[in-house]
Amino acid sequence: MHCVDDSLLQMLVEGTLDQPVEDLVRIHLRACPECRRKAAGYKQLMWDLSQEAKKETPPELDAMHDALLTAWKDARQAERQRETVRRSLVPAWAGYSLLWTRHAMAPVQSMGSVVSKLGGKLLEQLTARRVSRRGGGGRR
Amino acid sequence: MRTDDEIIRLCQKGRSEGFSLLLAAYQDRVYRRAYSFLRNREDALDATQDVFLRVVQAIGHFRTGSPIWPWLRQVTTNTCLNRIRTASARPQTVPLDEARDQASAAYDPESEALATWDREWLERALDELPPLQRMAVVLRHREGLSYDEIARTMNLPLGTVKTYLFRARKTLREAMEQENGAG
Ligand SMILES: [Zn+2]
Repeated sequence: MHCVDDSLLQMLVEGTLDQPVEDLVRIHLRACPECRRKAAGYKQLMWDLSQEAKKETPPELDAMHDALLTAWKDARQAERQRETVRRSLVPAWAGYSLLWTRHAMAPVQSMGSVVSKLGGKLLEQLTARRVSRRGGGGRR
Repeated sequence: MRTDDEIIRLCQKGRSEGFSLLLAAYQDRVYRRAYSFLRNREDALDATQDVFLRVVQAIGHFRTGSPIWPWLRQVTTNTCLNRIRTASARPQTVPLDEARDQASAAYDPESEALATWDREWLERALDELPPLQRMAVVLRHREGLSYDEIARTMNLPLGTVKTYLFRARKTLREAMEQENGAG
């Protein structure tokens, strides 16, 4: 009779085998001391693995606690500053955008009419030049 | 002892004592987990610091009502995975091997002939495992995660996780038997 694979023995010990498979493995175990020995080994191993090693934690953790607390305070301080800046900026920015929209609309419309008079060709050239210039700038 | 929720609320109000409580409750645990993944004191200390620096940035997004540990465990796992991957991407693994040789040279089997059934054999065998296999073992047997949960936590296919676990435990069982045979 063939011995069962180690993975099946492990799953038997873990209790993760489907019932029909588990039955077959158990039948084999009854007849095979070698697989029983392995299964017992896995049982011991898994119990040992579940136990956390009682190791001392290093003393550096205390100093780290203080350093992390400082990092925390700095981060919160920076956050508060950003918040203050954001609050004071929002009205100014809103006013600026309103101003910009009102003034910008007229030139955009008139440019549109010029473009339509000259035809799409010029617009294409303008766009192409701007793109290539931007590309050159990006490569620098 | 404050509950997770109280700690998170204090943190989200920006209160330093909240973060201090969080550290008091979880710093050791994160260190131990990082150590069990990385098996190196300095690396585990670095990883612990990285984990909490991430927490400093991300705590605002944490949902109150959820336990903290699964989240910290995930951040710890990610941090350690990054370190493992960076370390294995480095072509030079000589320092690690040297350290290992020195460790085994310092270890005198005669002096421990009767101590084969304590944890030491297991700790040494865990040191020798490939890091990702070890991580899967730790998540399975110390954290009690299911195979599926390990696959999600390590961001690996389920089949890979199973292979890691089966191989690692076979290696460990054989190491245990050798140890018993020798002792
Ligand atoms: Zn057998």
